[in-house]
This record gives sequence, C-alpha cells and structure tokens, in this order.
Amino acid sequence: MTHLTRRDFLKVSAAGTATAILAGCAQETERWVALEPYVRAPEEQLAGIPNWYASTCRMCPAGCGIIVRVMNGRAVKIEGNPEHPVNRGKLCARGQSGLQLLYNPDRVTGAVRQGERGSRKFEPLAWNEAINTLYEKLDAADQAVAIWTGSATSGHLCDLFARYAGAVGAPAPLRYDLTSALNSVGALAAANNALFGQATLPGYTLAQADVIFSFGADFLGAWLSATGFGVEFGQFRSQRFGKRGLLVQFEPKMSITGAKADRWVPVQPGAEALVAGALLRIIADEGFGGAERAGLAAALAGEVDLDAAAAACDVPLADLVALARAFAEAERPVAIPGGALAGASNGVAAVTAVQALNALAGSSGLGFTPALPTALAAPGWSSYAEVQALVERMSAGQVRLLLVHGANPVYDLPPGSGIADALAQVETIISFNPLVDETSALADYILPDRTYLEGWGYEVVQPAFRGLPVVSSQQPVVGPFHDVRPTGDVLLTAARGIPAAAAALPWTDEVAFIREQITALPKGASGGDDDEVRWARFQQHGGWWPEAAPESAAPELAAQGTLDVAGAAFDGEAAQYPYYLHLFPSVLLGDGRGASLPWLQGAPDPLTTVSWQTWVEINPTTAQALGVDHGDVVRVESPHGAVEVPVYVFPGIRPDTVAIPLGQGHSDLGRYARERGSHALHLVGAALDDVGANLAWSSARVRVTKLDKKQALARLESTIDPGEDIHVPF
Amino acid sequence: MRRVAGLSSRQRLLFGGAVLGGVAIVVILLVIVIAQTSAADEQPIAFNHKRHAENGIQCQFCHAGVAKGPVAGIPSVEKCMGCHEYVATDSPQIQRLHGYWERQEPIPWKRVNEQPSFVYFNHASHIAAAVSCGACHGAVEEMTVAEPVVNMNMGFCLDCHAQQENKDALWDCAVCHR
Amino acid sequence: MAEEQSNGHKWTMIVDADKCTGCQACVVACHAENNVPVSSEDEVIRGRAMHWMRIERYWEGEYPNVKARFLPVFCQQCGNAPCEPVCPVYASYHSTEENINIQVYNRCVGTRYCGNNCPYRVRIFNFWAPRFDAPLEQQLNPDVTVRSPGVMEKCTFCIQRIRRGREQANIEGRPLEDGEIIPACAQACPTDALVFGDKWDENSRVAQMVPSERQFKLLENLGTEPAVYYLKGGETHVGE
Repeated sequence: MTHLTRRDFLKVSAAGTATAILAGCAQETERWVALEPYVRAPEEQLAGIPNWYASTCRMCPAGCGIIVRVMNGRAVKIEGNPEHPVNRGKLCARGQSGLQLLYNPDRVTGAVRQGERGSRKFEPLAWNEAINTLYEKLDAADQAVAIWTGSATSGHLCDLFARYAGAVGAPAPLRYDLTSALNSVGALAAANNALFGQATLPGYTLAQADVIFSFGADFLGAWLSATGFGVEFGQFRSQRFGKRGLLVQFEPKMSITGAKADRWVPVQPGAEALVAGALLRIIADEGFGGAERAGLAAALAGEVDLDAAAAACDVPLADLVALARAFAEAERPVAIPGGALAGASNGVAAVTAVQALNALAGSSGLGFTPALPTALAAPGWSSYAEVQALVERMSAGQVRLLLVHGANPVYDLPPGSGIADALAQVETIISFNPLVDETSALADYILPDRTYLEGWGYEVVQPAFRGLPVVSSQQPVVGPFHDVRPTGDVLLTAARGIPAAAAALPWTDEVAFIREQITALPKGASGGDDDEVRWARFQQHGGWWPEAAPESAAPELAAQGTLDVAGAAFDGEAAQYPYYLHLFPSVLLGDGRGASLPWLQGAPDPLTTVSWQTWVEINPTTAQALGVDHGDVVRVESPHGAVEVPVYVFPGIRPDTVAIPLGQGHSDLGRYARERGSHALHLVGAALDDVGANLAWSSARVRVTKLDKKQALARLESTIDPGEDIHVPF
Repeated sequence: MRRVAGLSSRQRLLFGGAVLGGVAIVVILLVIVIAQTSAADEQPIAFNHKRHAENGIQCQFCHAGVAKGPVAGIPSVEKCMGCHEYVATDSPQIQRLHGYWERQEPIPWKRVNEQPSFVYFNHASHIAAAVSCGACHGAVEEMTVAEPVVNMNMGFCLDCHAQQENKDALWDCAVCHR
Repeated sequence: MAEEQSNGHKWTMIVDADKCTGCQACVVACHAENNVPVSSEDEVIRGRAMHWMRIERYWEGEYPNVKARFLPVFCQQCGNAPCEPVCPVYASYHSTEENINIQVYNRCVGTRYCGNNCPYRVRIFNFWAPRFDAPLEQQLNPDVTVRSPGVMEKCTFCIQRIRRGREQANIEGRPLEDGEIIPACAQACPTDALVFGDKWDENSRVAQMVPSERQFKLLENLGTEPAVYYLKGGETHVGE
C-alpha cells in the first residue's frame, strides 16, 4: 500500500457500497462487453477496427443486401449494401433488428427433444443423436414426409429440400406463411398470368413514374419489397422530370403509403375492382389520353355503374373523372394492386382489374423478374389450396414426418384451417426454427438452424428492381453463437443413409452445393474469370447480378375480353356484423416474427405511435356512435372468433370499417412476444377466393361491443388533452 | 475489479457519499482493493517487456493495431507461440504460455493502463501526430514488469493537448467524450 | 457561444418532409447505433419512452379529406441552445469544433434543467439503469457510452461516426469528403429524406440544399438557430 489517489479512493468507495450496502443495485454501465485477446486472431481482424461483411437480409422475403459491422467477433450493426440493386444501401427497421434475432435471449441453444408436445419441457439432445433421429424418421417415413418452408428459409435450403422430396418421391415442399398470404403472392401471380401470361410477382419502376395509383398496396410499409420501393419513391419525389409526381392511394384504412399520397381515396372494402373498372370506363367514354389509350380502356372495361363506384369511394363522381383523366394523360403511369383487396373473396378479379390499368400506357412501369442464365430460380410460393391439401393429408394420418423451417403454421393460419388438429395426427414433427414459436411448441424435436447472420445461403430475388436479376449472397458474419447446426448440413448428412436421396444429394456440405450453383453463373457485375474469384466476389459484393439489365420488352397484354368488376362477398350478415374488418401487417412486426425483437416492439407504429400493443382503429364518428374513446377496450367479434382490444380513434379510416394490425398475440416466440396483444387472424375464416386457390383473409365482417374495461395505450404522441392533467415526460 | 471500477461518476459520487459514513467498511476493503489493483506480480504470465525489446522486437510487432485504429491490441496466443514454440521453452513462464496454447484458452491479462470511463482514446491519431509510445507509457522497453507511469486522467491529456498547434480543436469535449 | 466559421465543421441535417414515410427505419437504426435501451410498455404509458429520435405524426382535416404528415424530430443541435446556459455543471456543452451540442455524460448530475428548457423535447432522462437481457448486450456499439441512470442523453448526430471519420481522414492525411460521415438514421433512410453534411463546405449536398424555397426550421421564432433544416412537404393536385 504505497499511495492512494482520489481515483483509487472512489473505486474503494464504490466497491464498499456496492458489495456491503447496495448489493445487487450496482450496474456496470460503461463496459458491458470487455475486449478479450484471441487465442488465434483471424488474419483480417484488429482490435478496435470493424470488419464489414456483405450478406442478405432474411427478416422478410424481399432479399435486400446488407453489410454487417463486426467488432472482434460481435455483430454490432446492420446496414444496407450500397452496391445491392434491391435496397441500394438502405435498410428498414426490421432489417436493422436482425441483430436481436442473433442475440435473442430466447434462442434454442442446441438440439432438443420434447417428450410431450406442448409441454415446453425440452431435453437437450447431442447433435449426432439428433441427426441420427432425423435419418431414422426420414427413412421410416419414406414418401410420407412433408416439408413446410417459409419466408425465413434461405433459397439454397428450399432447393435442397425440393431435391430431397423429389428423390424420395414425396410431394414438393410447401412454401407458405403469413407473409406470403399478406403479400397476396397467389393472387398477384394468378392475375399476372391471366393478363400477361407471367405467373410471377410483378416489379414496378416507381422512380420513372409520374403518376402512381396504388390500390391497397402499402408498398412503403410492409408490402413485398418495401425498402426497394422506398428508394424508388424517394427518387419519384425528387422531381427528376421537373414534376413532383402524383400518388393516389385507394384503401379503406390509411396506410403509411396512404399518408404519403397526394390523394387518399377511402374505397369500400371489396369494391376496388369496381373502382378500377370505373376508371377504365371513364377513360374509354371520355376518350382521355388519346384514341389508343381510350380504345384499350374500352376493350377492357365492361358495363360499370359509375355512380356506385363513386359512392363506394365516398367521393363525388367528378373526382373519379378527374383521377381517370390524370392517369390516362400521364406519361408513365403505374397502377399497383396489393394488400387487403387481394385477400378479398374477389381477390384475383380485383388485382386483375387494377393491374390492367398498367396496360393503357404500354405497361412501361411494370416489369417481371428476368430469368437467370442458369437453372437457378426463385422457389415458388404455395397456394392456400395446397396448404389445405396438406392439412387434409395430415388429418388423414398420411403424413408420418413433418419438417418445418422458416414458417410458423400454427400462427400463420386461421384456426378454421384445422392446422392444430392436423398436426396432432402427424407421427413426428421436427422444427428447425431458432426460437420456440407456436409450431415448435408442438414439435417433437427442435434442431435449430443457424440464424441468417451465422449461416450460408443465397436468395434469388423476386421482384427485381431496375430489371436486374439478382442472386443475393448470404454468408456467416460471425461464428455460430450457440451450438446450432446449419439445416442444410443436417439434411445432407441424414440423407446420406437413404439410398434414393443420397444419389440426388451428393454434396459433402451445403457450402459445396451453394458454390456449385453460384460458380455456374457467368461473369457478373463484380467480375472474376475463374470459379475461385467469382465465388469470392459473390460473397464480397453481396451477390451476383449482371452489369446491365437484360433487354426486355414491356409486358404485353395477353388477355381478351372485359374485366370482372363484381364486388366481394363477406362472412357475416350486415345486420349482425355491421363493420368490415380490415387486417394489415404491422410495418414493424411484419407477419409477427418481429414480435420477438425488442427494438421492433418498442418502436412506435408510424400512424398511431403505439408500441408493444394491439389496438383497433375506429373512425371518430363510429367511435362516437359506439361511445368509445382512446383506450376503451372493445370486443371485436366475427362469425369465426373474437378478440378484445383497446380502441384507437383513427381519423384515416372509413366509418364502416375497423382495422386491426397483425403481428402480436403470440402464445410463444420468446419473452418479448408471449402473451402480448391479440392475433386478429382468429377473426378470419378459411374460405378461398374467386379462383379457389388463395385464402380470402380479408373477407370478414365484425361487430364491436364496448366492454367495461380500459387499457392505456402505449403511445408516443402527446397525451395532453384539454382538461386533462398535463402529462410531462420529464 | 473491472466490474466495480466501471461504475459511473454519478454512482461513484452517490456511493462515495454514502460510504463516508461507513468508514469501517472502507478500511477493510481498502486493503483488498489496493492489493488487487497493483499491477505487479499478478499477471498470468510474468511477461518481460525489457527482454523482448532487447531482442529488437518493435512495439508494433505485438501491438499491431496501434497505428491503424483506436486500440493498440494485445497479441493472440498464436502470435506468442510463433516464436516460443522453439524459443526458451524450458522457462517456467513459457511453459505456462504453452499451457494456454494447449488448452486453446486466451490469456487473461490484467489491464495495466487504466483509461477512465466515458473516454474514447484513439492510438492511431496519436501515432499520426508523432506522439511516441513512451510519452504516455514510459520506458516500457526498460521495464521487466509493465507498470503505469502516468495517471491517465483528464489533466494529463489536456496538458499535452494544450501545447499543440491546433490546441483549440483538441480542447473540445467531443474529441474524447461521446 | 458564438460559432465561428474558422473553427471546424458546421454539421447540418436536412429533413425532407416530402420524402419521409414514417417507416421508423431511422428510429431503430438509432437504437442500434447509439445503445439506446428500449422502454417497456409501462414506461411508454407513463410518457418515458426512450428514443433519441421520433417521427411526429400530424393529422390534418377530417374524413374523408384527412391527411397524415410525418416529421422526424431529434436534437436540433441549436447554434444558440437553450439547454446549455441552464446546466449548472456544464454537461450540456457547445462543441466549438463540431458546432453541435454535446452532452458530457460524466459531468451530468441529472438536474434535468436542460430537458425542461429544451423547446423540442428531445432530451431524455435515464430514470432506470439500462437493461439488455443477456446476450443482447453483445450487440452494443463499443464506440458509444451506455448511459447510467440519472443522466440526460440525446441525439449527438452520431458524434462517434463524426470523430471516427475525422480521425481516419487525419491519419490518412487527407481532407474529409462530403458524404463520408453519415449518421445511422440518414444511412438507413430508404427514401433519402435525411441528408447530412458540413454546411460550411460550400460544395456539400447540404450547403446546396439549404437555400431551398421549401426550407423551414422548427420553432424558428425562438432564435435557437437549429442546425436541422426541414423541407416542407408538397402536394400535387389532380390535374397538375
């Protein structure tokens, strides 16, 4: 004990009190993570200097390119990859939050077995035992295996699963989840097939457009590829052609795209086809946009009751005429169908009617993703009819083994689908998901895959932007944080014991498979003459895409005849259930997987500023009639179910419609999601749409009953009202 | 000690104030804490800076990040083994090193130079401004056991910053605090 | 404290309200970059939500002619900052080098005077110790302090990025380039509604955007001289 400085003294004081007086209260606040020297330092790493790795975001299926900042083996920040053709250096809130999936406290840390389904009592399982179990179950099930994949399943894994199923003669893997349902991929593909002979997702070039008519598509919020469309929208508003551009949004409840629109038209749910048809009829009758456009409109438009269309929009007919004229006379108009209208009982007809508007201007703003020069292609999405077929097979005991990866069927499907009962009839369920979600809770085994920040993969991007076909690369940016194994490797190892599959899956590991697919591609924008260099550049630059977009003509209208503009049918009598139910994916929580990430839970919803909760949006006049105000709990009841949620009095919604965001109401999925809010999909039946292939998830009517309960809304906006106690946040 | 030393100034003030009443506790803990914070003889391996410097090894050979980024860096076990797989293998200290290598464990070095909390120091900026290592770390090449020679507090930093040509720019809080 | 052009940089943010979609990408990016903890539901209800930036939403008109406007608000980095003179311990400090407002956390004693005097309500008080359920702390940015309970905190224009950019340019012996330093929010923004740069560099994007006709500042009449310039949202009328 030589000399005692002030600093030492303070240290002692802190130590003294922390241990003796305030034990447990002391917090290390400045150095949460200490630097630890390496045993073997990775060659490219120096302490204190970040490394950036390019990869692909898997928080939704858009396939945005990311770069991840890694400090001494920890991933600390995700940003957009500036070179990537989809998101061009930008990244949405959900993409930013991927780190909280990687470091989620509720991750399954290794292979586990669940003795009794739903008990949530998991016993650890050694990986060799787990892989052996998978092999034995696959071997026993033979053709009676079903594979269910979703948005979080990497493209390479979809391809491997498909090869496995093909080799053993099992039905092709299913690729379906709530995201694909809410993106209405089925209705979009069906409409594009009918109109243009292309059964695929559409891409839109908004940056070049001067007029955009969006029908229900919240393309800036949670629809299809929101970051890519966001970049395009920024350019649209940059007055690049000396014009600010006109955006008109037709939807019953204002989305953030509606908030950015120059004109928001509150169209009645189910009447979108009628309105699109009316616009065509007006263009034809008035001869707007010249003889050619008017002639085309006349060929498409059938008999439409214009007054009924205007009434369904709550606008005078003159306004519809002005809108029709603005669209027809624009240089590069674009019409975008999506969201709830595609989930109505006339979904495909509605999408078709809106998409047909594009044909007037030669579909210049519309494009389909060009095919890659090799056989590599984006895995297709399954329809709800295929889901029903599988549910029936499961219920009939024809499925002995179900593998679930990247989807959460129990949460993703309405209860009327019978999924819960069907799962009970399956001998063995194996989930590969990183968290215990509602489906994993019913699984016999969880063999957790690596998260996308720890694992390999690729993603064939759809829809494309700027006409560029893209294979986005996914590589581990950090070492695996837990004892988790890549599902690709697990499958390849297990399949080795099954003769039929072994021949179809000859790769030593998934990286060998991915490498083979990628090096088969010709030289792309990042160059590289030999395989080794191309493979390295693929990872370094975040993917493969050609230097210039391949030549492609605007889609040509293949359809003949007039459009079907009949209205949608709804479940429930109007007398008993007076309101339309409008469901929408939360901009932050997406289809619900975001609910396990605190950043997304804690970020305010853009329009209501509510976080952490589920609410129902009600028009002020309706709220007055019901005698409810902010925070009053109501019971929203459809013929299929009921939820109890607090009211948010929302000015941007039709008085005959109530809206509830999706994403909450989990019974599992970790501590941040569990037992929070309500899952409004329980209000929806399991009916199919007009082509009998897609779930009509936007076809319910509801009644709203005031309950004698209150729940304070967790909203960020000012809660100061005249006459109320002032609520100062400081 | 890192955990406790990492308390915020505010907590220190609070705790410091509270503890003045509890002198007895302070006295008991004083002994423990001072014993724990003195750098000598408690490193997991008695690394001899002098010996390495005498053999012509430059600082940057081991502290490779010093001219490139904020952190000078502590070498990996692998780097030590690069020489010591064959050099001085009969020394008991080197045998300790071999033990870490065989167990593939990082060496839990104790921090010698304490940088106060809430401060972000960048080695590379100082090297770029031609500040020698010795200006803050003393004649490490003469030390058998590395020990702090200066108290790296705000006064020490600012004394030097005040003498620089661009002293106004270097006087700004945001230079170090963020 | 007067700002003199001879000193350092005048960091400036342009917010194009015409492009902001309210998508919250910036808000989450800010949480990730600046180690901002997430407030629980109860804290939000009590008005203690913790965000360095927020997107304000304004309703205009009534159904069916209703509009929603978004306005991202964060520390305005006032040239004449009301938070500075009221701090008894000089924790709220005007950087003469970066010409923004700095909060020196280890000086702060938590009087909250600065927050009371801030007309923009962008200063946040740490009522509680930040909580990061293990292993979420693995994500924390090592370049930024995790603030302790009892101190005030706020947007810094990502001072750690500014300093890192400047230090790197200095080490490499070259001048800073426009666009080299981008705060996390502007970096994330899909529509490019946020543009950041040095207004005193006359070739910078911000210097060229500031004279826009659409430009305005928040509560300009208070004389706070904010370093955040807003560009008013527009409206295209049907038939234009």
